[in-house]
Amino acid sequence: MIRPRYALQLARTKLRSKRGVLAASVIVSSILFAALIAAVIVFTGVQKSAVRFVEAANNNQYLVSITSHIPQTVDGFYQEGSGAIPLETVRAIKAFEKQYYEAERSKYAAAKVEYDKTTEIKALKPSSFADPKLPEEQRVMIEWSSPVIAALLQQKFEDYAKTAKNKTDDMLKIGAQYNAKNYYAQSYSMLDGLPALRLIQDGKEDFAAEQKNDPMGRTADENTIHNGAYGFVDDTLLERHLLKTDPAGLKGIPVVPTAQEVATLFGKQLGIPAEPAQETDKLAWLQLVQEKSKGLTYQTCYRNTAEVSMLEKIQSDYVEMKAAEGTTGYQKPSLLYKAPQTGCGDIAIASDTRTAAEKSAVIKFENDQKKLGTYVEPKHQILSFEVVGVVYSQGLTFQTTNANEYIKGLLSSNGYMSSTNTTASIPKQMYETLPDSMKFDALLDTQPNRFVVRSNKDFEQRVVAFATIDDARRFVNEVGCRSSDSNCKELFYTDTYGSNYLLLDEIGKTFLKVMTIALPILLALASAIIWFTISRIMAENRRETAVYRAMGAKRGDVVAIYGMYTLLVAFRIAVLSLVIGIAAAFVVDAVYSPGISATAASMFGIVKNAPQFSMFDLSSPLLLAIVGSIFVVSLIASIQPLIRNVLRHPVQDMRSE
Amino acid sequence: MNEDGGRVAQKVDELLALFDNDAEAAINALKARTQPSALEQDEEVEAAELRAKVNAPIPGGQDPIISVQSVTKTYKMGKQPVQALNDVSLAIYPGEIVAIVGPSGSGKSTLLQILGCLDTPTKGKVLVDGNDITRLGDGKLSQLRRSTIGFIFQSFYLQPFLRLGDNVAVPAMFTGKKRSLINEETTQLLDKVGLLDRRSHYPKEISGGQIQRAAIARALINQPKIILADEPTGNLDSKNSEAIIDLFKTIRQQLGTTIIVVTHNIEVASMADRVIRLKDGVVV
Repeated sequence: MIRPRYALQLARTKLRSKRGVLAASVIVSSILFAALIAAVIVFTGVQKSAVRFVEAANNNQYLVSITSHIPQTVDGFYQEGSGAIPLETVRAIKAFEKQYYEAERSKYAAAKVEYDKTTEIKALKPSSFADPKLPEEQRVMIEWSSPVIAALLQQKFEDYAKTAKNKTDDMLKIGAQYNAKNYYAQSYSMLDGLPALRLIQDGKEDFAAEQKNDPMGRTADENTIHNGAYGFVDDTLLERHLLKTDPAGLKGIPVVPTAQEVATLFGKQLGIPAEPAQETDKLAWLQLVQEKSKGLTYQTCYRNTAEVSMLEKIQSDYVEMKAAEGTTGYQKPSLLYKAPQTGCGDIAIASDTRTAAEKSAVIKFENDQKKLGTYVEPKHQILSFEVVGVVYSQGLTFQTTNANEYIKGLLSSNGYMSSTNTTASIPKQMYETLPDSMKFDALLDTQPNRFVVRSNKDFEQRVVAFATIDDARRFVNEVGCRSSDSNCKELFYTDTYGSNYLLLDEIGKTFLKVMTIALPILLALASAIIWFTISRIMAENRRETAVYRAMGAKRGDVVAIYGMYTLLVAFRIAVLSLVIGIAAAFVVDAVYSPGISATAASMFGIVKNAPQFSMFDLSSPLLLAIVGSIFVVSLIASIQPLIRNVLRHPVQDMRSE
Repeated sequence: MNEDGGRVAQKVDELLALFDNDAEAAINALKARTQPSALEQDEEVEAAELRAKVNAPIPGGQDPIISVQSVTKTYKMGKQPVQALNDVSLAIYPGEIVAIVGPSGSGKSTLLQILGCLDTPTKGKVLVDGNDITRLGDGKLSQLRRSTIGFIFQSFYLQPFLRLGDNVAVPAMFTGKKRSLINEETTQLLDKVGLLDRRSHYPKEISGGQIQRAAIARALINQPKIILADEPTGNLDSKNSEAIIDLFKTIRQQLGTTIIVVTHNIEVASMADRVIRLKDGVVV
């Protein structure tokens, strides 16, 4: 049997023959494998970097937000999957409405107040869009402004709460079964009542901001302060964003707004430039915002519903008078208010030409309200805030157009960093240390409304902390549905919080799945190329094989020579693939990493000692598997032509001599 | 026609007879002559010698190294069966130089391939160094080729990307010998064929005659008892052909190797102890 070194020597000489064909197939195969190698290196780098950021951002905890899932049958009137209100629901609403107004009438009677039936707002109104095939009784829609509906929802919710298994206490018990380490408070929604806050700037309220007072029209980086959209968040969750952790000496309600909003509202005053477009400049900008925001205070004006009504009247009267300009015989409203000229100033009367009868009617109405206990006296109050931290808002991205956006999408999750969050955060524990005079608790609306669930203490949202990603994953998957799941059947909604570590984990699995498909396809393709090359080389070396056989080479010797040749070809492919793949990954890393590092650091708010985001990591065992597969595939591809070659009788090729 | 012209015509007639009226073979044989001016008395002697070699008696007193007994070889060319050899019997003795001549298609190469254990007869028996090749498997046949037979080809078949020294060493590589031993033997052989100073050259860097000498050295590397040469001078000029003939004589003289040569070259045939003439697959 030929010695391996001789086989290697003879095989090496074949590498010099048919160089063009060999080089082409080596290059094509190498590019295929290099693509795989580069993908593995970049992905491993991204995954490991993301994990480093997640761990640094969450203090090595894996956080899960959990919210009670209140069935639609409790907080709505629609049967799931159906647009029309069921007939029995319509009848139930009507029955409740009858009871409600009967109770109202009794209340009025008890207070000796005349009941005006015309003030009733029906719970149901005819629907012009209803299916005409439905019975007329069912062709109705909900009148959400009706107090009947608010009361009915409240009633339904209270009934549900009596037997509910998804209260805050329940979630704490369930969390314990999954080795939960900690529970934190987190409010996604703005506090009821506070939307009536207006920012006071340059000694004035910005009444024009009124039109922005719409939760659906806001994003995290604008108008949260302008619209009084605040939510409580546990101090621990805000820790890395806080510029101040000692509550002593607070000059106002502690607040953590977005860096973008601070720059928009107070940039001029503080000397903060607009957010730079370059990702690499953003971290420095965030540091500047943090530095300049330290100790920043601002004031807002709270006006209660009575004053809000007066402001609305100022606006509507103005519109009416403007429209009637030049109209002969037009009479201005008999009572006109004047917009406050100072920040949180009184709303004064501009002109009052009401008749005595009109005035007494108003006085009577107010007295009746007082008797019924529903009178709200106009009231306003200045609330002071102190910025104790800033959080970078990643903004709202609808399309991923580059790697930065893609990484942002990967890392982002629900919670205060998310573009879907519309509140500025108030550190809960710091707030609780404030004297009552600085708090706004008394201002919060306690009246029933259609959002009864969010203000119920028994169903408070929580963020649950786990020590391991596996516990967090099990909790997320087994305890609840994702908040995006409109067909949720579970008792809770569970989502990753702070960062999308589970998505990263899932992407890792998906990547492996993709690799299990892509790898065999690419291996098959490379195998075909190698098969073609080796077949061709062998076919063109038949006479040489015959000469070897004439010289006494056994079939095994020929197999050894061509086997060695195949391994040499595979070695070249492996080396070239590694060189191209590593170089490609290196270039990707060099181009994208600085920007993504800055993005990730600013997004996670890890300004000091931020980990480096690298897209280059050679530690994946998959790389070895790919290189190994190059050799295996090459040997497999050579089997058929090799067998064909050695089984060929040498005399066939000698005869052609 | 002058006297010389008459002798040439007579010589051509003799060669035509020798090559069974194959004019092309006869002309090739003439062209291969070293000295056209030597068409004198020697020619007649040479022709007479050739005639004698065709009818030379088979040496007795020892066992043949090759024994071909009633061998028939039929193969298919397309769908047509072709009988390359028909009931051929012959014996070749150790140390003999035997030339196999005959026109194209007479079965010379087929016979050489069978003698070289590259092919097996359809019928009959072939003994090579005492081994019945019709009964041996591929492995044993390879071993027999490696240890007993050395091949020399018309087109040399040296590996273009191997240096001359390595080319010579190739058959020894299949024996599994140590590199040092192979190197030593290669050196000796290159020295013997006068190419020691060309050891590090590639085949494209040396002449055709040198290439063939290297091919002969390669054939000798495993010290075979038999050398089979298929048209060894077919691609060489007369000067180089003469050198090869001399080399064959030396090899036989020094090593006692049996040399079987398929040739169209009258000089080569003249060198042989015996000439076996084939026509239509039959020894004539």
